[in-house]
This record gives sequence, structure tokens and C-alpha cells, in this order.
Amino acid sequence: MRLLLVEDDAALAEALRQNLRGDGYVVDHVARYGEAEAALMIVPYDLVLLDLGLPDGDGRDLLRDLRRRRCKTKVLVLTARDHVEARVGGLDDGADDYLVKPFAQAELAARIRALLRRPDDSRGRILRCGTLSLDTVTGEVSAPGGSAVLPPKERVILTALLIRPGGVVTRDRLDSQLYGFADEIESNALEAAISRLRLRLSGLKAAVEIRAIRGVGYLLREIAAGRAAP
Amino acid sequence: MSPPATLRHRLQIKLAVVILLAYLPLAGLYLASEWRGEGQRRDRDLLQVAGTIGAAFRGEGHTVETLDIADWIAAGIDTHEYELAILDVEDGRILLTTDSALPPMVSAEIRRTLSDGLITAEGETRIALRRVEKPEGDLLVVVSHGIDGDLFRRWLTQELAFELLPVLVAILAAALGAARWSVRHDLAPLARLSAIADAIRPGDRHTRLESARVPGEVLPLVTAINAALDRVDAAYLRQRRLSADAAHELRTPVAALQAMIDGLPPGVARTDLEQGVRRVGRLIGQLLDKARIEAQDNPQPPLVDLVPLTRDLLAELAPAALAMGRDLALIAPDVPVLWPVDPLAMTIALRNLVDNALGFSPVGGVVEIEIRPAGPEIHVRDQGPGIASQDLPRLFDPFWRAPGQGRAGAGLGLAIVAEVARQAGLRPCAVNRPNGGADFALLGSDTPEA
Repeated sequence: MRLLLVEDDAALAEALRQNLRGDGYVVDHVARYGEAEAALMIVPYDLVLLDLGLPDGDGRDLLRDLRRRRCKTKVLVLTARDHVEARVGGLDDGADDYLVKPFAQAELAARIRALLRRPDDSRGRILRCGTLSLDTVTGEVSAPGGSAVLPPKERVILTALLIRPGGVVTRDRLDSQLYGFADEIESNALEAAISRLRLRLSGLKAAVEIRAIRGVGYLLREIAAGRAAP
Repeated sequence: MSPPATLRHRLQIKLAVVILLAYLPLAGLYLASEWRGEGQRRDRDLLQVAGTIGAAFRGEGHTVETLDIADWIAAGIDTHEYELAILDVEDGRILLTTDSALPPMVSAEIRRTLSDGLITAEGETRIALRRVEKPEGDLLVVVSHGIDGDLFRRWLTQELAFELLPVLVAILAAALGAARWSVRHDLAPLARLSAIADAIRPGDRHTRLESARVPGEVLPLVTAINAALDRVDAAYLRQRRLSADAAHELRTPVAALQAMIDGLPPGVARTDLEQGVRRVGRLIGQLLDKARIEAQDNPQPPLVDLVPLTRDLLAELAPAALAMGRDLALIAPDVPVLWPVDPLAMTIALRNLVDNALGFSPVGGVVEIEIRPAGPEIHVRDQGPGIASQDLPRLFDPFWRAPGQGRAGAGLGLAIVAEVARQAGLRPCAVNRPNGGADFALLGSDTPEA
């Protein structure tokens, strides 16, 4: 896996490069907008670690340019801006994820892993979390305990949860995705479908759990023993 | 201080002065010409009256003994307007007079030589004479308009009251009314401009004054104000870029430090360094939050639905909370809970409250966030040790930390909450729960005082 690190702070870049090399990645480092543009033209990187504040340009322009060229390279933005600002700004420009400085190496490594195994496009592809995988086209879910075809509602829910494993999907979003199934629009339709999905997944011995955050939403996460905290 | 004189006032005063200055000489010329014509008219009057009296007196049966003013009144002579005297031509004897000052004005020579006609006596008094021949001796009828000198004043008063003043008043009224209408009509665009300027709020970067229908004299002012707004806007953008740069400049070295520490082999020293760098990172984040919130005090924030705002924030915080072994729960109504508040500031405040509650929660504890529409009220409740009663008053002070508190904090989190609450018109409040733990709340203005 080859990464491009675009960061103008020499000390941060050097430390990150060493840490990432320790994790087994090949890391190229550039400090300027122009160099980053040139590097992206030549090398098909798997992932770009992009600092937004560059001395000769705005990292967001680079990001927009990349997306305009329909380049599928993953971009993880390293921002000094606040969470909320980054959420509304950076991601809209086409970043796949963002990290607010300062961050722990463990967090960075986890985000990079998640991005690199995430399919380029969640439609028509296999989604995974740990030992669980879901074919979103056929609705077939596989785990060490076997495989099964999910009914439509459970498939919609599991797809939404698997697109960002470990992240919370709010109730509003799940409800709006279930809204197309007009057969039963009861207040507990979501809860019922989730509990059926939980039963099915534990029957397949999938090492994942669906946690409810009361009043907020649901998240799906691995329950592997000795798993590093995200 | 008295309010500044309005344009209408100034214009009206100037118009009034100009009109008076132009009118007074014209009025003087008019009066002079009128007065000349008036003298001729009066002379004719006097001759006529003298003739009437003379004719009445000449007839048979009229003697000096039968002279009676009542007869003249009956003949149509206004005795208030004229002074009369009848003299004996031969010896100057005064047979009758209405004013004792009149007879001496007719000298003996005139009396004897002049028969009918007009003379000018002392003091410009015009006097008409009429000789009446009677068998017992000739008499002289003497008539004047009075010799007390206020003739001119009376005439002038009449002229002013009935001729000059009404015209002047009409001209002034028309001019001042026109000035008033013109000023109001021509300055109406300015009222619209001041309404636009009044609505400009901090962060409102695109509103400019309109120049349509603005009088040409005011246009440079509008242009200058718009140019000033452009300059302020440029400075505002520079300032915003500066604080974004400041965030970058402050956070990047800490990130470098953190990355270097992460590259060290595990050990006590590394753990200590990790804690130190986390604390610095937190402090920088809070200082930037505080600076930004203080800088963006918007007097008219938009109406924000607090429920999805809180839900999105909790969705963001939940993974880290679960990783720490703490749970989050939101109790919120299904209806929107609207409140005028800057959404970014409110998110920062709530995040500080939830972070704070998570920090004091035991492993396995639940931090419960409740939104109540009445008030509204937002509660953040933890299952931690609660707040010592002596700490309650200082909880929201900047840089204050509870003595002996082990958590890595700068003591800014709750101060930021207090500042956001102040800007949003909410009351920050902290109490201990009956069954343990703390309850931090932001209370809306229609909440009854506890």
C-alpha cells in the first residue's frame, strides 16, 4: 500500500512517516501544493493524507480537483480546524474522512485501515466488518457460522451500519431508509427489524454487535478480543 | 443635547429669509406708490365734504345758531373721519369746531383771500376750504382729515393687514410647504438606506446600500459607505483567516509532538508524555473555541432545532464514549425544540458539557441528555461523584478547576458553556442529583425561577 503524505510541517511529517512505515506502508512525503499535484499525476496512490493549510495553496482545491478528475484515491484530511467545521466543510469537498490535529497514531492507523478496506463504492460491492461480510446486491450475509440471505429491511439497515463500521447511524436516517417499505409504518418497525437482525447475526456467529445509543441511533462494531480502542 | 436640525428646517429657514428679503423692498415700493394715490383721493374727499357742508349751509333758514353736526351726519359725512370748523371770514371768529387745533391753522390772510380750495398747513396737514356767502357775513367751512399725525399709521396698518400680510403669508406657506414636501419626497430613499444599514449584522458580508433613486448629492456618501463596508469585509476575512491560521499554527506542532511520542517504545515516560500532550491539545482546542465564540457574538442568531443538533453531536461522541466504557442516552421530544442560537457555538457548549459528564462518569455509567420543550431546558446528567457544595458558585469561572481534580483539563470547558449560554439567553445551572451524580442544565428564559 502506497500513501502520499501532504504536510508542510517538517517535524510532523517526519514523525508520521516513520510511524506509518512501522505499520508497513510505503509513504511519499511532499510539503507543497505543486509537488502534491505532480505526485498524484504520476503515482496511483491508494490513499492521500492531506493537510489543508499548505504554503502555496489550499488543500481543499487539491481535493476538489482530484474529484473533478474522478480520481478514486482515498483522501484522509488532516485538519487543524474544529470537528464541526471540518464536518460541514472538508467532507463536502470529497474527503473520505478527516482527523482533527492533534491525533493519536492508533487513531490514524485505524482510520487508514478502515478507508483502505472500504469499497470504492458501497453500491454493488461487498461490505465487511471483521469476519462479517454482506453482499449488498444479493443480500447474502456471511460469517464463520454460515451464510444467509437477509430480508429487504434488514439488508437496508445492515448496509447503512456497515458503510461506516464503529460510527453511529442516527435513527432519523434509518427511519428514512425504511420509509420505502410501506407495509408497516409503525413506531417500533426499526426496533423490530434491528432485533431480528441481531438474532440472525448471532446465529451466524458474526463477531459484531449492534449497539443502540438511546435516542440517538445505532452503531455496529467488532467485538474481537483484545481489539484496540478506535 | 438637542437633536440635530433637520434638512427640512434648514431649508425652510433659508427660504423664509430669502422671501422676506425679496418681498420687503417690493412692499416698500408698492406702499410709496399707493400713498401718493391715497393723497389725491383724500384731497378729493376733503373738497367733496367741504362742498357738501357748504351747500347744506347756503340754503335759506340756516344760520350760525342752527348749525348742527347731526345735519352733516344725516348728509352722509362720517364725523369720525373728518375734523370740521366754521369760521367767520371777517373777524376769524370760531363759530363751531370739532378740534380746537384746526382753526389756528388757517391764517387770517388765507381766510380773507382764499375762497375755495386746498391748502397745506404745518405738519403736512391738508385742509379744504369753502366760502359760504351769507347775508349776515361770509363764513368759511374748514375740513381736514385730522391733524394728530396718526393718519399715515392708520392707513399703513390697514394696508398691511388687508393687502400686504395676506399675500406674504400665502407666499411663505406655499414655499415652506413645497420645501417640506420636496425634502420628504427626495429623502425617502435615505430612510430605506438606513433600514438596510440597520439590518447589517456581524458576519453579514454581502449587504450593501442601494444607490437607486438616491439624490445625486447623497450618492458619494452611499458609495463611500459601501467602500468602507468592503474594507471592513476584507479585514473580517483576514481576521477569520488569521484565526484559522492560528488554529493550524497551534495544533500542528502538538500533532508533531504526539506523532513523535507515538513512535517511542512503550514505557512510563511515554505514558507521561502522552498525558501531557493530550492536555496541551485540549487546552489549545478550548482556547480556540473560546476565542471564536467571543468573536462571533451575533445579536440575532437563527432559530435552531436543538433536537437534531444534539442527536448529531451525540452520534459523533458515542463511539469514543463506548470505547471508554461509558454510554450515552438522549431523551428528546418528537417535536422540534426551536431556540435562537448560533448552531456552532451551541454544539461546542453541549460537547463541553457531555465531555465533562463523561470524564466524571464511572466505567459502565450512562450520561443522559434530556431536552425539554418547555423553557426550553437541556439537561446533561452523569452518575459521577457530584459537585462539592463549596465549588458550585465558581463552576463556570474561566480557568477554575476543582481542587484535587485529577482530570486533565484547563478549566475552560464550563466557562465556554457559560459564554455560549449568555449569548443565547440561556441560564447555565449545576445541581447534584438526589441519587448521586451531577445535573448540568441550560435553562431557557421562560423557565420559572427555581
